[in-house]
Amino acid sequence: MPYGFWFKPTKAIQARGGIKAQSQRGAFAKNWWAQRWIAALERLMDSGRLSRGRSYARKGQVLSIEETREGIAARVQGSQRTPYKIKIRIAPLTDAQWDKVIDGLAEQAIFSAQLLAGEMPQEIEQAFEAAKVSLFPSQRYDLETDCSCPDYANPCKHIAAAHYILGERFDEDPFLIFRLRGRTQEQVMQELRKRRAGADEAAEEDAEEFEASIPLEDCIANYWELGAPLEGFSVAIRLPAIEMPLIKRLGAATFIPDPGIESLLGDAYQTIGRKALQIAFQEQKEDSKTEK
Amino acid sequence: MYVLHAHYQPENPGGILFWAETSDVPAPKQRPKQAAKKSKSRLHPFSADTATLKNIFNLDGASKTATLRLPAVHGVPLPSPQLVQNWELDTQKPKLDPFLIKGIWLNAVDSLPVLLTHTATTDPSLSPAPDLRYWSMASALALETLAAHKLIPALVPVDDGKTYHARWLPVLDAAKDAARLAQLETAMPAVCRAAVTKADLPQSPHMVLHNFLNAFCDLLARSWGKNAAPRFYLGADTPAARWVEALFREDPTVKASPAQLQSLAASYKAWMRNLHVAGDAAFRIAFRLQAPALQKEPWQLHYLIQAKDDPSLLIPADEVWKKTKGALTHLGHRFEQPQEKLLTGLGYAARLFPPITGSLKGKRPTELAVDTSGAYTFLRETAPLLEGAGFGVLVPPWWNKRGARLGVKVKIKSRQEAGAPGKMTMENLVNYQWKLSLGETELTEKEFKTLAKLKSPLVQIRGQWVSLDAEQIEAAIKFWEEGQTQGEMSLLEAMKLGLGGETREEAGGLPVDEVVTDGWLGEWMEQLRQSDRMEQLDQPIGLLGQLRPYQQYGYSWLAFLRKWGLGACLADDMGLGKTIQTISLLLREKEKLGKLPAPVLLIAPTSVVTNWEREIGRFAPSLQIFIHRGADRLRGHELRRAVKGKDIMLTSYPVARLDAESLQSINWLAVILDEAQNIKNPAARQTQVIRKFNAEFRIALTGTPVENRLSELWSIMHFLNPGYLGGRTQFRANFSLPIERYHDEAALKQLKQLTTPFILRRVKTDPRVITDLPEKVETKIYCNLTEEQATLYEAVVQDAMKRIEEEDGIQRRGLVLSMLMQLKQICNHPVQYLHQTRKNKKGDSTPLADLTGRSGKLERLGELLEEVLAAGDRALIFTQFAEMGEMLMNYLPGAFHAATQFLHGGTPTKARDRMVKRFQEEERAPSIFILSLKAGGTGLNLTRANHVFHFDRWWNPAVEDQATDRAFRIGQKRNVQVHKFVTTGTLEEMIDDMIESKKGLAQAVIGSGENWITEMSTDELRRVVTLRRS
Repeated sequence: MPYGFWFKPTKAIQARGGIKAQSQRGAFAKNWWAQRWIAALERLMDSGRLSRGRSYARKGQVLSIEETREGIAARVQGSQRTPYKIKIRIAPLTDAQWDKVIDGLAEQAIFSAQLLAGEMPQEIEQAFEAAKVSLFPSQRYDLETDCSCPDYANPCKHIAAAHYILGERFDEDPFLIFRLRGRTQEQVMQELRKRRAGADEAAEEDAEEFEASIPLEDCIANYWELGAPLEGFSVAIRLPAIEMPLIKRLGAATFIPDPGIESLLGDAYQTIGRKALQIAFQEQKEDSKTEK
Repeated sequence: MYVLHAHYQPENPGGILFWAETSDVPAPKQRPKQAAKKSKSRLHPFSADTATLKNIFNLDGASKTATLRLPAVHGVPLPSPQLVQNWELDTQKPKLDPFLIKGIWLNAVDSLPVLLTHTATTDPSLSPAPDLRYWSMASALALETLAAHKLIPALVPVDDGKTYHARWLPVLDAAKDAARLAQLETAMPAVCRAAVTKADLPQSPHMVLHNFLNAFCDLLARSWGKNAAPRFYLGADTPAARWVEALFREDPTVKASPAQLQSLAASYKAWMRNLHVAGDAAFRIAFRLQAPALQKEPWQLHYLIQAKDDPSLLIPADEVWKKTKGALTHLGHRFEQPQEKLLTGLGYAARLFPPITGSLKGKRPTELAVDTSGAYTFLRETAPLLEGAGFGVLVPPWWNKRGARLGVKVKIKSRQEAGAPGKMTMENLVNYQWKLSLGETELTEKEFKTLAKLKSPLVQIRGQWVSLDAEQIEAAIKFWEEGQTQGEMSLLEAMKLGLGGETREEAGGLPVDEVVTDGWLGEWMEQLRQSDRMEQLDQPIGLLGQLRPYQQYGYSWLAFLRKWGLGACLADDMGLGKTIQTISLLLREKEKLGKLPAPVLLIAPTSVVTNWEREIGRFAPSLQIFIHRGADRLRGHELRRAVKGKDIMLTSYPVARLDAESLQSINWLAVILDEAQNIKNPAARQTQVIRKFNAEFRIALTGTPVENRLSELWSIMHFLNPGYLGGRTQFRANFSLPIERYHDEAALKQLKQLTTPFILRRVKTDPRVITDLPEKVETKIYCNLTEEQATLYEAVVQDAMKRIEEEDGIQRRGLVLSMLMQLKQICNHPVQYLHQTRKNKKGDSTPLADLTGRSGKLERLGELLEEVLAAGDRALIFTQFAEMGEMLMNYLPGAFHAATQFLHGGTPTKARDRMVKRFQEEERAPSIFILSLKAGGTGLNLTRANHVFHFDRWWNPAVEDQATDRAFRIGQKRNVQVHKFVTTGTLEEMIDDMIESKKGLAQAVIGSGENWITEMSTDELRRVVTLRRS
């Protein structure tokens, strides 16, 4: 594009079936690591584009977003009929850099424990710094972006929109940044395990999974009978001591609209539980007809 | 009869096809010659039509079909073993053939009540098949899951992720669930996976069961939760909201674009991360908190991995860190990536209990040291949260014991001296006193205040750790202040408390630690709990006969409960002598007091009244009996006068019901019910009037396993000890339904604790009993004639004797024999004498209704067989009449839901051998074997039977003994009971008495069957055959 060319402000075509940001107002990311991701972008852009990008993300203009071998590929609906194609890539770490990082992570079990439990450890950046690299993009060249739109600026608002949506993915999955840096969760964990054991890992043998099922032809002798007595089989139908134990175990679901999954489904769980209890202890219909 | 089946059909949406086999159709015809057409499925030849299903089982739904592969021979499916039928089918080498089944289809919601209630049907002609019981249990598990909120909203990809469905997904990951699911998988009857599917894929029990659980939980939750579905405000129309909405719609499809679905699925997956944070189906992460030896030292929290099916298998964290392989294995279970799982669990637990974070600074964390207040927080707050998330938590053993926290101790003291216990009733009052306690240690107010001052939640007292939290201290202070520390309660309440019936009892917010009873009350409670400690009584002096040791025990037990005015249920197996134990008690009572203060009312089935009369006469002739029966029986004042001075009044249930008013006006010493199952229906008038009879004590006798029939148990207990088990509705909700439908172990245990002191049941196989019992026990079964039988009998005697008087020689002999024959037939059954059987040309047997209630002997046989069958025993029935044998063969299956086979002179050798082999060897063989005395009296080996009935008599002990020996011979490992029927007042009783009184002589005289009777003089003969009506 020639410098100084002036575009008249365009209006985006309203997208259908796009991905709307979970956050509809206020800050975009909930966790500190996702905020770091957003900040990396915000340093590079003017506030106007950022604000339009946020609005795009919230309206659902991002039509798709995928992880590819080269990084992130997204499609964003702009003012033209054909959606714009976007790429976001972070420079991967070298194998040597990763080795150093993983050495650092192996020193404290807390890194693995929190990552596996879905949390980015606070001290993780120190582990990366010790290896003289940074986990999050810190410089301009750490973050490569590209958009098929006619805007001269890069990052443009379309990139910003995709970046924000990506931020919410970070919230849910701390390993995303690792993947973008070139290592999957499995790779990182395997390396960590090796260091814990202090030895090379023996080749894993795969257990063959098969389902035990006796062919029907071999069951003819007691075809109608129970395969084993059910005498000791005990069922206790009771309401839970603590309501919705599984929902509580899962924790907050950030993608669920307000007031959150526990409030939304509370009534339903109670109703279902009470109905189950009622049916379980309901008497037989007295009017059952008999032949006589 | 009908056997009701349930077939689970996974087709969208899942539901149950109910269908039934029936034996009320002509025998299906096997066609050996005709080659089976392979591919085509035939209509099942003896399945009930849908109209019948609707009528009989009260099913209301659409008619549908299924094709099932069933074992079949020559094109006819083999009936399931529950179906009682007399079809002579070739059962050799069955193959699986497809059959079309017609039935009634019900969706998940509508099929539940059918599954849950039809398993407990009491009508023996409507039998639930194992597959029905199986799906009933599986649906009970689904109900447990729903009631306990153990399900999650799930987002399930279908069609390779092109579409997503919103589903309610059961999560069965409690410690015992893996074992329960494995048990259900092995228990699945083969027929449950016999459906012919389009893809023709093999269906494993695992697949079928999980498909069922998933489908039922989803369908039920969807339907029941519909009215409580969340409403979203306008503008909140996100894919997530649509997913939530789709959880409550019939169509589970989540309506969103592929990119939205993909994004939703990613968010959903992240949310699910913590679902299995504690482990998997086989293993879980566990924490063990260990108390220090001394108060000042730190507590240790150890990290471990625990096997779910074997909680004692614990792998410490340092072992896990040493593992270089990617999986732990134990007894065929694999735990993949144990290190990562342990780390994940620790990461999650650190959020609930922040001190854990500190321990993770190292490379290979294994444990954490915490101080006392940290330990307390972990025990009180963290442990329940961790357990809720599926972690194993091993707390010090004292933590959950009652002694580890403040509680109360109840001291119960009797007010009376033990001296006059005869008038003891459940309403008597006893004093109680509450004491504050720590376990077994009582606390004084001063001691308590010293402890409270420590202000530490965990304190060590005499080497024992004890928790003292603010709430409990508060409750304890209130306890002292309110001063409600003593009062009085009824003996009934004290007994319930003492027997542990009310474990959830609390006093002012504090748990009841212990119930202490002292003096005679303590002894009494101890004896109630452990009847071994009871005093063994000598048998009454006047008893003619010797009590066996277990009978002496039973009689002492009856006397013990009687002493305290408690009702007792003697539920010994048939043949163990409930009668003699009861008679001994009454005799002892009379011997102790010189004379009984009031008569005893003994109610028995009509058919057994005479039996009681004979037995009392035999064992305790000093007891004065009054029999209340007959059309001209006394009522009101006259009856009261008549029973005065008598020891026992015998009557039957129907008479007791009819004369309720007269009987209620008498103060009885005791009311004793024989065959107490006669009051099993609490709502019946008979039960209600009998309950109102006044008595100082009550006894119920029954030979059926009363502890397994809960409504019967309640009704009998309510008669014996009114109010003890609570009201009927309350009892059903607390015990019957949880135990009968769901095998609820906690409820069963509590009920057992409550009832054990009042029920004594010994079975013949009890080691203590078996050594006391002779190998062969012979009993006379006395029964009555019905009015119809008596009329026929007298007519025959009158007519025949007249003709006998006029004849002599061969003619006379012929007439006598013919009269004997006719009289014996009448004693058996009027229908046999009248030859009303086999009238129907179609070969249909005489309808049940025409046989029921017309013969005292048949009624009595039925009562005895009921007990034989309830105990799972097998019986031989000998008769000399083929016609009677056939009647029994046709009557018994319908009346008692028991298969029979009949061997007689006309049975071909091959069939005969098959019957014997079947009876001896097959698990599912008919348990009743009817034999004609001539054809089956010799040669056969039928040791699987331990009951022998001689329905009519040959008057030749040698012949009868020989027949008895079919069962009582080498190979017989149990005691054999021989029941010989004797119709009272008839020639049967007269001849039986004659043989008994001159046994030695008789052998020679009567050796040749009944001929000796023909030698009697006419007067003698008249004396023998004339009916003595009592």
